[in-house]
Amino acid sequence: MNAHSPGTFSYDPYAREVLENPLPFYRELQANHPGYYVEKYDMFIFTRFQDILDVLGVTEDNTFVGSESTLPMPADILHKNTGAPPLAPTDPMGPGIMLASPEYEELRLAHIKPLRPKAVKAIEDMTRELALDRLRELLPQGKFEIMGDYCGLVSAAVTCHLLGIPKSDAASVLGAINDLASYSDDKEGVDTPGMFKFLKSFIIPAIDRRRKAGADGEVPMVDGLINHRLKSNGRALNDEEIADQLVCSFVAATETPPKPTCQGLLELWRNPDQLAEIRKDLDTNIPIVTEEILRICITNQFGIRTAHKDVTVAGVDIKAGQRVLAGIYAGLRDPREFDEPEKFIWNREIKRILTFGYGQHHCVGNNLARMEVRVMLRAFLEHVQDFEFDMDEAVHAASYFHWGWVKLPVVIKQYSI
Amino acid sequence: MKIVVNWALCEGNGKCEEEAPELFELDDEDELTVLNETPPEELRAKAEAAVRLCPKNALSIEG
Ligand code: SF4
Repeated sequence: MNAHSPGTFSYDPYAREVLENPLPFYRELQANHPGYYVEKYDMFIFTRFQDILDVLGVTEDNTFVGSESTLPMPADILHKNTGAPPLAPTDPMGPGIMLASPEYEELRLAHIKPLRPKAVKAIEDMTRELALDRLRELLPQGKFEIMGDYCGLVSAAVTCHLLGIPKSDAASVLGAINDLASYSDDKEGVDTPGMFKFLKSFIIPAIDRRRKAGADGEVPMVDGLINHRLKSNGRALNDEEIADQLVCSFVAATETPPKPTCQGLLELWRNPDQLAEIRKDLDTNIPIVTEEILRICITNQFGIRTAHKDVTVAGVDIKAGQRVLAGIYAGLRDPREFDEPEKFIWNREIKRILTFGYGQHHCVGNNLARMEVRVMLRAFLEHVQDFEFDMDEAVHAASYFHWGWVKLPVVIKQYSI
Repeated sequence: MKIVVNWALCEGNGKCEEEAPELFELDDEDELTVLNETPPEELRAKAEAAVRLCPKNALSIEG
C-alpha cells in the first residue's frame, strides 16, 4: 500500500488493493489529490463532495454522457479516445443508462411514475406486509442471514411488483442479481453488460405479459414504455429496447436497499447507546436515522462518465473523450462537508446528500429506496428487541461496484411478532 | 423574480416541495405545480435554495 507515502501515491480504482479496501486511498485523494489523473484510463478522479456536485451538475449539451457505461469493466476503458466517442444508438434504442439527451430524459420520464413520492407512499403498506411476512418466518429460526433472507427478498418482491413479474419469482431474481453483480476474478470486473443480457430473460416475458394485457397502465413502469412514441420519429419501442430501459432500475431496486438497511442495523448494534435513543420513539427517529444510514452505510463506490465536449470543472481541464469518475462513497465521507465523517451519528445534520448522485443520472429510485430502508428498519426494530451479529460468519466483498458486507448473519435474542 | 421549470428535465421527485412548500407542490399524480411563479422578494432565498437542491437542474430563476 502506497496510499500513505506522499510523492509515490498512485491510485487505480480497479487495482486489487483498492478493491480490498479503498478507504485509505479515498482519504489521500481527498486530502491531497483533488481531480487526480489516472493515465491508464485517461480519467480524472473526484472525491470531494463539492467537486462531485460540480462535475455531475454539468448537465448541458451532453457534456458528460454515460456513453461508455457508467460502470465500465476496466478492460473497456484502457484505450484512449481521440475526441468524443460515438453516442449510443437510438435506432435501435441503446440501453437507457448509456443514452444522451434528449432521449435519456424522454425515456426516463416515460416509465418512472411509480417511483414518484405519492406513488411510492401508496406501496408502503404492501412493503411493510412483505417485511412482516419475512420476519414471521425468520424470527422463530433464531439466526438467519439478514441481507438476503430478510431485506433482499423484500426488495426483490417490491421490484417484481413494479415490473409486473410474479412475486413468486423474487427469490430467483435476487439470486441471479446477487451472482451477476459480484466482482468476478475471472473477468477482472463486474460484468454489467453480461448481467444486463441475462436479466432481460426476466424482463422480456414481463413486457410480453403487459402487451397481452393491453398495457392499460396497471404496471406503469412497463406500460409507459410500451405506449410511448419517440418524439423524434413517432415510432414505438420493441421488447428488447424496452428491456434495455428497465434493466438498470431492475438491478438497482433489487440489490441496493438491503445493503444500507443491514449495514445500518450493524452500526446500531455497534452503537447501543444510539440504538437505545432511537428506540425511545421509532415513529420520529426512524426517518432521521435513515438519512445517516443513507450517508454512510451505502456500498456503491462511484459512477463514470465520458466527456463529449471540452470542459473545465472543479479546477480541471477535461478534453472530449476523457473520462471522469465521481467518487460518491468518498464524497459522503468528506470532512469538508461533514464533521467526523467516518463516525455514525444517527441524528447528525445532513444538509445535502450525494447518495443518489446528482444531475442527469440522479437515481430514479431515490424515493423508493428511502421508503424501503425506513420500512425494513422499522419492522425489524419494532419486532426484535435484542439482536447481535455473528461477524465470524459475515462476508465482506472486495469490489469496485458494491464494497461492503454481502452476508450478515444475525442472531435474534428477543423478539415478539 | 420568475420561477422557470424545464419540463423536459423535471421528474416530479418533490425535492423542491420539501425545500419550499410555499412555492412548489406535487399534485395527486405527482406532477409538479408551481404555486406562485412570480413570488415576492422575501421568498427569494427559499426559491434559490430549491433551485440549488433540485437534483435534475430543472429549476431556474429569471430576474
Ligand atoms: S426538485 Fe426538480 S425535478 Fe424534483 S420536482 Fe422539483 S423541479 Fe422537478
